[in-house]
Amino acid sequence: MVKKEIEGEWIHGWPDRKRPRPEVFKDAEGRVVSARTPILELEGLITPTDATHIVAQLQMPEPIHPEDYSFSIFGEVDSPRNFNLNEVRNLPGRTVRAVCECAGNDQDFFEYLENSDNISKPSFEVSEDERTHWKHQVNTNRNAKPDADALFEAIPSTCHISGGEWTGVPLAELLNLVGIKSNSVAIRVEGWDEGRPDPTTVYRSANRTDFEVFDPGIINYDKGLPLAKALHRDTLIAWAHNGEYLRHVFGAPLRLIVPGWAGNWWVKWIHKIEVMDHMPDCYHQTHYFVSGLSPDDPKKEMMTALGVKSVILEPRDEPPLLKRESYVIRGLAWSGEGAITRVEVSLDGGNTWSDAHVECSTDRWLWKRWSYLWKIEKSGNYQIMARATDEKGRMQPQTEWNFQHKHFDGIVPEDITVI
Amino acid sequence: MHIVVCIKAIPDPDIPITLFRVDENLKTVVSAVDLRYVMSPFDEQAIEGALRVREMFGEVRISLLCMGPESARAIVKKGLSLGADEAILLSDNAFEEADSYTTALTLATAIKKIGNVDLILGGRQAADTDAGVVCCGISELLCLPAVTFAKSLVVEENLARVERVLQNGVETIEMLLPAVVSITHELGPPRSPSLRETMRSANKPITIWTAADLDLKPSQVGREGARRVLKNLYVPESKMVCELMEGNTPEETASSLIRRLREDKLI
Amino acid sequence: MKDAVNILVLVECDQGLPSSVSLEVLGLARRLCDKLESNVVALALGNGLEKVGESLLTYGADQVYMVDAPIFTSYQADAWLPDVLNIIESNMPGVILLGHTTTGADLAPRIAFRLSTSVAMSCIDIRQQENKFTFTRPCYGGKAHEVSTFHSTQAVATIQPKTQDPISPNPKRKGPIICVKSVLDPKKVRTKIVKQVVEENNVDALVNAEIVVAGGGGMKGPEGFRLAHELASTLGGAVGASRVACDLGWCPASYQIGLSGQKVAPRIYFAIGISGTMQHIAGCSNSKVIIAINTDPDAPMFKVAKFGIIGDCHQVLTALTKAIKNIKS
Repeated sequence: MVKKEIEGEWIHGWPDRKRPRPEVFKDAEGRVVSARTPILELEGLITPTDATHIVAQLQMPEPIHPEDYSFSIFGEVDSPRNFNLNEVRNLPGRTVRAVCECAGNDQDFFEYLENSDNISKPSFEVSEDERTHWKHQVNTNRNAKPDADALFEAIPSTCHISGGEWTGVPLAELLNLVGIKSNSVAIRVEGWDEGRPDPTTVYRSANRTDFEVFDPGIINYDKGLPLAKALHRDTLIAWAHNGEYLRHVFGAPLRLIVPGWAGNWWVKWIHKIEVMDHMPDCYHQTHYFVSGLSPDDPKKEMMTALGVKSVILEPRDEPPLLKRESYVIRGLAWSGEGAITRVEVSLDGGNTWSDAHVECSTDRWLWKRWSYLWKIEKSGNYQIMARATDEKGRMQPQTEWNFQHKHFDGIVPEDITVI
Repeated sequence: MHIVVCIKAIPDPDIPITLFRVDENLKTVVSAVDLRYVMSPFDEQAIEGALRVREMFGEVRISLLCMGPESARAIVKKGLSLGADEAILLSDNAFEEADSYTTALTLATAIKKIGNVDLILGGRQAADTDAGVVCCGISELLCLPAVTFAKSLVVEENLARVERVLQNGVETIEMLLPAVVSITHELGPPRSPSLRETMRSANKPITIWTAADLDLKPSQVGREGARRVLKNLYVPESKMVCELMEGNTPEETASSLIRRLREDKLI
Repeated sequence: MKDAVNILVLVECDQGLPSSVSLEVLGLARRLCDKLESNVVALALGNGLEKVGESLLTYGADQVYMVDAPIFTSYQADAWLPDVLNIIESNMPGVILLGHTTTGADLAPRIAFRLSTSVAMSCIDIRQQENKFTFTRPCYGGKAHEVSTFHSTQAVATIQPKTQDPISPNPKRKGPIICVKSVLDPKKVRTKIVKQVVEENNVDALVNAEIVVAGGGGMKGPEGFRLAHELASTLGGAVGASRVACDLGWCPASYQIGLSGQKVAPRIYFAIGISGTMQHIAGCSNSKVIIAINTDPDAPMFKVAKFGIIGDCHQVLTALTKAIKNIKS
């Protein structure tokens, strides 16, 4: 393997190892509106805040100062009311560590696994160049459909995942305070970020442009959270991230934390919470982030919890040459329904499997580190794979192919050549 | 109470002399690197003056008025993040290459259109032209009393009390509102934008008015209506060659200097 | 010369005599009118102007108007404008000049706008081409000069102090001295001077000094100015400062020399610990000899200085003072 030299930078006046930096995408005014995590450079479980991925489905809103901020809880409640930041912060709180993964993370691996001869493998490398976000490069013309291949090239689909620590109050606590009625079914959480959903996003997700995408006009971002998950003690309204007040790009002053469920559930910039007696028709769970085998599939459903997933961080086949010696295969594993209990490694493309060492951790929703000592004996080509199992006995992969290519959790082999 | 503060976007006055260039054909300033535009520093102090009146007086609406191109928007936004409530940008090709007369005329016409203005503030001079004409010009066109070189400004009911800087002292002047006051740097350093006002400024309105909106014809404004004709703009050459004094200690260099001054019969 | 353009000079008076900047402006007007073969008309407003008329004729005026009344003791725009405009209307001068003082800078724009024209502020030179005048003034913080003319038949300008010389006083000059009755209606004055505080400051001494010792950021505090005072008193000069030092409170604001401060033109100008922004140089560029003392050899001040010392300000000041005291003794 071509050994990467350790790069340095000055930190607090001292020479030090270079810190992981995300790949950022900016708007026309130079403000970061999107970022990808340098997952290959991470060493622990909590992704440093500066390296955490950033996404805004509609668009980044303008910030609201904490002293000018309040949100309302209303609907099927006994005492609808407003809260300001201090009032929320004064409630009995919790800190939860969890992985936040975008539904579309690694989506191109679906196609890759089907067609690895013709499609280049999606890369986990991130670049240090600052780029302009595609939404700010061209005016999307609603009358002309974008070129599917061009989209594929222009918008990378990996590295939209981070591990973080969230401090906040359980949503259940807030709902308890206002008293939810017995007919409540879902909690609709809405942010003040608004925009007109761009069909390009759905086309990129589906990798095809030959269907119509519903146009709801200008909407606020919202999600209708099923009551059971809303009342789970780990579902939080958080004001702090990794030990500091939430940053604007992550949804300040308050965002929803839904451990185990895809990132699009973690509503940012909360300004309304509505308790409803039916599941609402939110665009981002009725038209986007839905399962189904095609755009016309009548059995389309909103997608919620992630599958069971592991990734191999080293060695990777970018580049693939190893010397014949002992090597430690390392990676991360996580599940949308709880803690990982087992990770297995195969050196022969999935024929035989052995247990890897999984690091002990009590954080149910955070990914775990695993490792496997590989004593290489013979030169040759190896196909290395990893598969994870969670506390509910679910084994990787769990996600069925869906036309929007969401929640990818397939087993991706690394093709390693030992010389 | 309603205060209008007139502000101007100018090339950065702190650009080092080594980067400052003038195109003598175009009669404009160019720069060796990208020319950065900022708010004229005395205008920042005028905004500070308005904010101090608000702190003492209470219910005060502060509007910024700026004659400039679209690119002046960034400067106007800075003013909003200092605490002004709204901004009006007078932007039109016809307004370009104005002199002090057409600038004052355009601003005064806009102030008339805004209506019900109690106090008009501006910096004592713009840090590009260094002229200091527009505030008095506005007062003449609107037939309002004006006081220049204000280092402090207090408003009580409908009376303005201004401390005006003189060559050898300070005088305190009172006048009834509405009136015009130009602010000098002796007011003190302006505050920096606070986080709260910076966040709020994104939602504050910026209205654009053209010559047509002001019922002004192109012949009345900008270059066409100007009274002054710019014939030449140049950077004066300095042919001075500095003679550095020799010596290893301050005592030695001091002696060298005194010797030279005596040689040249200067002392 | 027929249709020759007369020049009107607005004179400020200080304790019954024309101010020094007014005499400088008069000198400029005199030189221009000599070429045009036209007249210099002087107009003075004030209180107790008995000696003023003769003085103005001596220094170059061909004709003097005086409006003498207690209400003109101090400057107020509303009080001065009616009489000024009255004289302008009856004389129709081609150019109206004022000194660039707090009074001139306030009054000149108002006169210009009443005449529906604009004004050239703080000019360092006026040239004449036939009956047209060109006005040269610094701009962009003193980094550039602009030369302008005016479309209108009448031009208004203020003249920067210390850029023009008065003429050699000629007591033989004669001309009419006309005392004009004020046309002002005092009820129409919209401002009221409630208080005036004359600061015991050094402005007059500074502006008229032959030697100026000025300190800037390199003085590192009020201590540096104490040393500057020592050197100044040894040389019989005055102390000034750059805006940086005044803003930091190391010396009184009245010490400030620069674009928005005093203009000085001494025989020797010591610029000590002053980097030399154009705004500062604009206030001292007419000095005969500038001496720059700074630790930074790249300081722009060295580009306009005749002599320079690269060294620590405090140490050099002390050494200079000591050396001069030695010579004297």
